[in-house]
Amino acid sequence: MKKNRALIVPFALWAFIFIVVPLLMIVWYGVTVEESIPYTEVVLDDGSTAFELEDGTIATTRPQKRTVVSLANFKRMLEPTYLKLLLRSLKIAVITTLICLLLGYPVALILTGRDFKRPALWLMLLILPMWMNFLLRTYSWMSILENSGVLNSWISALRDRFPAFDAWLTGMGVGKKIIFLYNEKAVILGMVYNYLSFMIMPIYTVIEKIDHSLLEAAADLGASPRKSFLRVTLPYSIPGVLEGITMVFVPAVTTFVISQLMGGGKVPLIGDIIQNQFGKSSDWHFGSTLSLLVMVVVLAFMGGLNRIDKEEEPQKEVRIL
Amino acid sequence: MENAILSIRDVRVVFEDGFTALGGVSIDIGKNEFVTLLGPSGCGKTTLLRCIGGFETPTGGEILYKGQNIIPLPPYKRAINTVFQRYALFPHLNVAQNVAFGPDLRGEDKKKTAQEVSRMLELVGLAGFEKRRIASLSGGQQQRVAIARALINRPDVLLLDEPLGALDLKLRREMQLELKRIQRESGITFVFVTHDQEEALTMSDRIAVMRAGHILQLGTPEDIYNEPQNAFVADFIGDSDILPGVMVRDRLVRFLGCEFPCVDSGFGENADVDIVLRPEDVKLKPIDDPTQGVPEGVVESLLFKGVHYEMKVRAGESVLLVHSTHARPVGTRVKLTVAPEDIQVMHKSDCSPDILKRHADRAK
Repeated sequence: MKKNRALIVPFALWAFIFIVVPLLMIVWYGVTVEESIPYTEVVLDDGSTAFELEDGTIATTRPQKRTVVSLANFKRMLEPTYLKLLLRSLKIAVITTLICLLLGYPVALILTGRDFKRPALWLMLLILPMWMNFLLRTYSWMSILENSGVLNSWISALRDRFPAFDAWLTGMGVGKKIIFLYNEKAVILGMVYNYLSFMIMPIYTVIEKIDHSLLEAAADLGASPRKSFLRVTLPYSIPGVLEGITMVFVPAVTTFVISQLMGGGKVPLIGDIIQNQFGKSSDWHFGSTLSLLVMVVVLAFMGGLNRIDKEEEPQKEVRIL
Repeated sequence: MENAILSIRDVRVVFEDGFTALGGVSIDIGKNEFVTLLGPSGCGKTTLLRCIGGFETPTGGEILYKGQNIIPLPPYKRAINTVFQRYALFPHLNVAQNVAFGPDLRGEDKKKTAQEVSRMLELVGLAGFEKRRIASLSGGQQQRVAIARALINRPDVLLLDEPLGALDLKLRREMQLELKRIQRESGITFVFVTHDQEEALTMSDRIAVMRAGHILQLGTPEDIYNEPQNAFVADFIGDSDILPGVMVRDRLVRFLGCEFPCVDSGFGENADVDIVLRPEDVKLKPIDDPTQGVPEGVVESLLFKGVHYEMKVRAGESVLLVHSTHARPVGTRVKLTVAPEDIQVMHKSDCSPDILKRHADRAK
């Protein structure tokens, strides 16, 4: 292997430039703050303006802000406002992941069914929307759900057509226009829609790889389809499930686009605040600190998953035949 | 058959693409019998086994288990267990968990099951392997685990789908004896699938030779070997010389340019037939032997095979395989004789041309 070591260099370089350096920058920004230097403007004897610093030194140029190492942003980060945002982000991400799992697992299972014809076509149909631009997809949902959107106009058309339906809805306390958008549910809907295929794909891949003869063996030994699912398919699909969870959970924790569009700014998430720091507020330091916080949370989460993975997954062993 | 445990009646399997895998197969299998389905790949033997196991649904016919048609039953409701071709052990479970899979499913007492697992592992020669992982076992050991996993359920019938296919020759021989022992001791009916004729002859009580979705011959190993019913069976089982011949009249047949008395009759006069000779039944005599009216030949090759010599003897257009404990040097001129009861006369069948051609090609 030694002589191939040179082959690592391009990747190492790439990883250094695109992974290590940005990470270090985030850490650096995270642990520093911009500090303005206090000074008083004085007029010198010759009539020119100078700046006297606190320690009495006189500078002829206006003192610039200086960057100092400080944990002030960490302190700020722990303020309830931000922790609440983080908790909400986690809550929404967990709910999204669970819904994706509950919807995605059965889909993957059905697609891998032996009697299911042309699974590849169906899989492609599921993934096809993902070829569209992410924003476009989310905007489509908005135009469906907004107050004068497709869904509302259908419902009002139905109400006009069937007075009984109208009466029933009114009886339920539903107004003329139903507000679907700009709440947590809308954000979750947007996330589930956008991330569902990330759950289906890895689960589909592992289930599809299960040796069919194992299922036959289970049936042979007396396992009903339900039991053979619980004892064979399910344990084998755990790695795919864990991967799917990661693929959904991580982007769901950090997203800001979906919450801004579907939540209309009413459901800010930690991602929104971070984006804000780099945008409107232009406080890269605090933005970096918050990013570090999210990174730690995600890392802790992945570490936890990894442990489950190690316990659940059949131990791998390289066999030389 | 009286008290057959398994009765297969006119079972047909036609696949969706129109291929007929089984074209109406019938066989009765008795209690504690060792029946082998023998044939080349694609003959339908595995399909038949899968029908019995419930993994394939026949398009026609009946499979009676203790008198009840089990075709509508899914595999998990059949009291029949299978040892799969590539064992299909569960890699996420260890040896003991694999073997205990069946009892655990039935919710049997854990302690009792553990004892039973140990007993089964002892039976297949794997005592003390309980905690081993499947991936750490050799092919032969995996195969034994597969057998233990099936046997622990005390099935009345055990189906084995070429279970020895992946093993090397020595291990294969050992496992053949082992399987036979297990079958005798457990009292279980074995239905065994293989394409290895030697394996079939060593282990079976009865053999069903299959070809193209049909059973060509069903009988004891001795029957199949000594009295093959057609050229295909003769060709498939053991070494043989297969020649074109003419049945002159009852009990008289002509091949290799000479007439031979034989024990067969009922073919009519001057009927084209296939002649099958076993290499050990062809006797070589010195050229100056007084026997008259027998073919003469020249020894073309001589091989030492341990218990016997294998010679190729050219007689006219044909080359015969001859086994003898008495070596004759290459080039020796000999006379060939065959006892009347050793001449197998067979009706022509659809596979005769192929087989005759292959045997004739030996002469080139």
